[in-house]
Amino acid sequence: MSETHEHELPFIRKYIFSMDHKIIGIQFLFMSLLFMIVGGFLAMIVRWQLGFPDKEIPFVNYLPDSMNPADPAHYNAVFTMHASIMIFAVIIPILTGAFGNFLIPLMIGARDMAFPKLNMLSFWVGFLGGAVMASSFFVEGGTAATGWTAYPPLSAIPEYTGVARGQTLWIVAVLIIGTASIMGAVNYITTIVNMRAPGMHFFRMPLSVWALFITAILQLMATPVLASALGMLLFDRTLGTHFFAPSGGGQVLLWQHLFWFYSHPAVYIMILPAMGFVSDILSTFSRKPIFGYKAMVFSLVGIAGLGFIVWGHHMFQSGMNPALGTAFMISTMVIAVPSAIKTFNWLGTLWGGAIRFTPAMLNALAFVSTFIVGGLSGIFMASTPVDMFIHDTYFIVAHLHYVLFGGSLFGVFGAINYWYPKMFGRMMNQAVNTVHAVLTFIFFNLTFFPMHILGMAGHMRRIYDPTLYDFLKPLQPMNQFISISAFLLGATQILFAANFLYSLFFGKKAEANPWHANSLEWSAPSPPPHLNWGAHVPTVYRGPYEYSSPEVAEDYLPQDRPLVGSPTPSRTVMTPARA
Amino acid sequence: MHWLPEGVSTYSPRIDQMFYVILVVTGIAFVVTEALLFYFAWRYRHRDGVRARYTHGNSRLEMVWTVVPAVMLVFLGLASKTVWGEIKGSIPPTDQEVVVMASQFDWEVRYKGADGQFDTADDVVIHNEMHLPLGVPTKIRLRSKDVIHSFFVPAFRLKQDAVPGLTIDVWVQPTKTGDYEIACAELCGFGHGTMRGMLTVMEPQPFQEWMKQQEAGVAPAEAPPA
Amino acid sequence: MTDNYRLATLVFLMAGTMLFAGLIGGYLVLRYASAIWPSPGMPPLPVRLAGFNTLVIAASSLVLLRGVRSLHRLDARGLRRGLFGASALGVMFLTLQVVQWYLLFSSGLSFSGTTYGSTFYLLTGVHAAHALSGVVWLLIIALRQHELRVPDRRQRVIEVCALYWHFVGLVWLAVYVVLYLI
Repeated sequence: MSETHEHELPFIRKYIFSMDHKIIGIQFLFMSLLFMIVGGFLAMIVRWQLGFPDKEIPFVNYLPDSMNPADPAHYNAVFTMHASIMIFAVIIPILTGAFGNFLIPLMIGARDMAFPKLNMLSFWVGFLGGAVMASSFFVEGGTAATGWTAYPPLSAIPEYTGVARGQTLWIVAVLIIGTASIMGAVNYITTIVNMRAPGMHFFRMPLSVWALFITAILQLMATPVLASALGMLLFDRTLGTHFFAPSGGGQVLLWQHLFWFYSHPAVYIMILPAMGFVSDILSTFSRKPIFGYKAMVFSLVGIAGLGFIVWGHHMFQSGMNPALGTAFMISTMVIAVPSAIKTFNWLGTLWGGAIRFTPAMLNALAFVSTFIVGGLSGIFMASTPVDMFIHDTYFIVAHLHYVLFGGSLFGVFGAINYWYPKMFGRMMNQAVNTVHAVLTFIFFNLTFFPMHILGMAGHMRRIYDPTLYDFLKPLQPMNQFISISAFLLGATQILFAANFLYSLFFGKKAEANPWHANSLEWSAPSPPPHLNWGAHVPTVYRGPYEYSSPEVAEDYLPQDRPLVGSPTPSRTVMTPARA
Repeated sequence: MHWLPEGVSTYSPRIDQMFYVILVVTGIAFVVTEALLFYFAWRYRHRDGVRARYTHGNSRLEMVWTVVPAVMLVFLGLASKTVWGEIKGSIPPTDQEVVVMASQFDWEVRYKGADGQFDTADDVVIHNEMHLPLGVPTKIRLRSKDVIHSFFVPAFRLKQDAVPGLTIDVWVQPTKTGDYEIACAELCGFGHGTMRGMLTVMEPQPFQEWMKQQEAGVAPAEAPPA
Repeated sequence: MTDNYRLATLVFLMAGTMLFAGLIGGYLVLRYASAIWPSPGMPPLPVRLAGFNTLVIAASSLVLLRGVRSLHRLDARGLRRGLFGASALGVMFLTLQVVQWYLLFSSGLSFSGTTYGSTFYLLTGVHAAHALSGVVWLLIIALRQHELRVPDRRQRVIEVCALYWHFVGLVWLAVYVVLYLI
């Protein structure tokens, strides 16, 4: 434990097969950001096709066939891969893999994860999964084309889509990524329970850590159920079983039940960590304690618990018993309550603050603003009769993007802005990122808000040419408007990417605590050395949100700063397993 | 308010009403929360010499904003349950029945034909076209040959998946004559976007005549001589 | 406080539990949605053979439990007996599973023919994969445990391996009840 000198490891051990949680976090970050470029590019193709179905996409001839939506079969492949990549290779790994890894030990005052080797394995297994998914762009027949939900029989029998290998690779990729998720979750849970610094009680943990903790539990409990379903689907495709095929005694709806039993919690896996990051950012830049800390924790727990009993709300029109639909509607209405509590507590945090509009803060505010829309639009779908009309229309496309882009991605942008100095020891250019945050917020809303209106007109999702329908023809100008906004939204991201890369090498050197924040990661140097702190891990005397406390003259009071009369906490702490 | 397309089934006004109720409730919540968000961000921006208020929360306030949304949501849930029950509770008794067999990428619409029985030689079978009488409840029996499709008639506010291996019954009572589009709302393969049909609602009299015409088209070829 | 290895194993076993919950849930849905079960013409499952096998794996767990108790007394011989005894019974369990598959397969129950067969082989197969990895783990520890010294890290590995093996036994009990008895 007292070993403080840096080992001089060879490059490959230090940056490639690293067991340092910070390097692994950064590896996840780079992997996810690369996949985000691919996923975002696919979104542009989708929008081109919907806005201008008659015009060929520029440069399309340089792409693999599987990305060319001129053929309607490929359109299905393009949006399927957009969703699959964004969910399995971007949002989940960036939230839990990148920030989970980087932040958990630093924020709880541990020198590393409980199992550094398992952690390294989790990244490389996840990477393999991403690679398998990406490889399907280049196989015969192209990628999976059944949506990210992969409903059988469409996904179970190759003849229905004409995609043989791509769909199988998709199943295998998701299984591999799921395995990586479980490895990560086991590590996070063990680390948070066992390795907190002296004085770091559960109720002194930053909300980011709480959110990552709850998320890990969700991943742990939900992913294996998806694995069971994926296994059955794989056997249906490859060995001729009939788990989901009615011709052999199977049940089509069984897949949907198992899939959504995983995927509804997965929706929370994709938003809870962002909620945690945003809570920390809002508190830091309002210079105010988070409003209702315990309520924030309990609402996270509540969302996670209820998240397991609402899956049926994806299946109101699936042929499931309508009485069950009512039960799922009620549980879904109830789960909106903890989300409402969180929103009001964020507003309460701003109230009476001394707000600094850094790029991180702007992204956090954008998160709250768009999460409100995404949360409220969910209520329409929760209502069984209303859902009968808007289910599988653009209304839900709007809703899910308000939650997953407006929510998760603004959370990610906020988190990158906020922790970049800690990760890389340099500051990003604040002016460029301010412009990026404002433009992203504007173009995001211009892209996705009109989709509610399309949905209210009955515009089906996953169709490749809306102009084929008389009732959708009048909406085509709106589709074009959305597409142009989407292109601008995509182009805006170039600012962020350029700033990210430029600042890696030429950014201003960051101090240890550039935002004057309280949590423990800011007590380590930027970037923190191997094992994070020098001779001793910090000792914790208080919660992470003591901003503008009357006890001190400055407007912040770090968790590890002793004040006269602070009792010295003592507790045994587990150390990382070392080979 | 007419933000939704014209509804032409007996239950479409009920669904639309529910939609607007939710729109009003969420609209108020939206305006209030967004206004507070932007107002607070502006009002409490950092100013030199002004220190933030040091507070960890307010239990009474937190109780209020837990209970108020809970009550609103339970109210919306109960109201929705009533409408859902009206639509899904029971199918009104009717002789007017249609069987829809979905397949990649076709809607096969089957009427009983002259003998009043399904699955006999004189069934009237048409494709991607459906005719319904005005003001009469029709029971639609949904089936699928291959993958999941979803029978969607926006003007009726009717959407139901057609699932292979199941027969799912829905009903509709049209309230206005005219032509309305049928679409598939569940991804069903490369032709999903083209799975379009036309639904024609006719006055009962012309509907009977149309039916007779169709039956005449089937009967001579297939009905065995008595 | 529970140490890292034990805690991580318990956490991991929660994931394992959910995997079997998903598989058993799927089985129950398929079974109760079918009008006839077992599918017509298919052999019934050998309740007695599997029942005997349930006793075998239960015995294996008990033997291992005694072995781990010896570990706490630093009784190397008792531990060795426990580890080898448990692995031997584990091998016997797996052998009987293979015999069972062979008997059923030769009386016409294939993996892909009916959902009755598919769910049976899937559940018992996934369980057997877990049991196999457990047996291999037990054997590796048994063959290396002559190095056992004063309390060290390997002790904890033995404990978590035992935990895993008890999990395999408990899951089998659930599978047996669900597949064969109800």
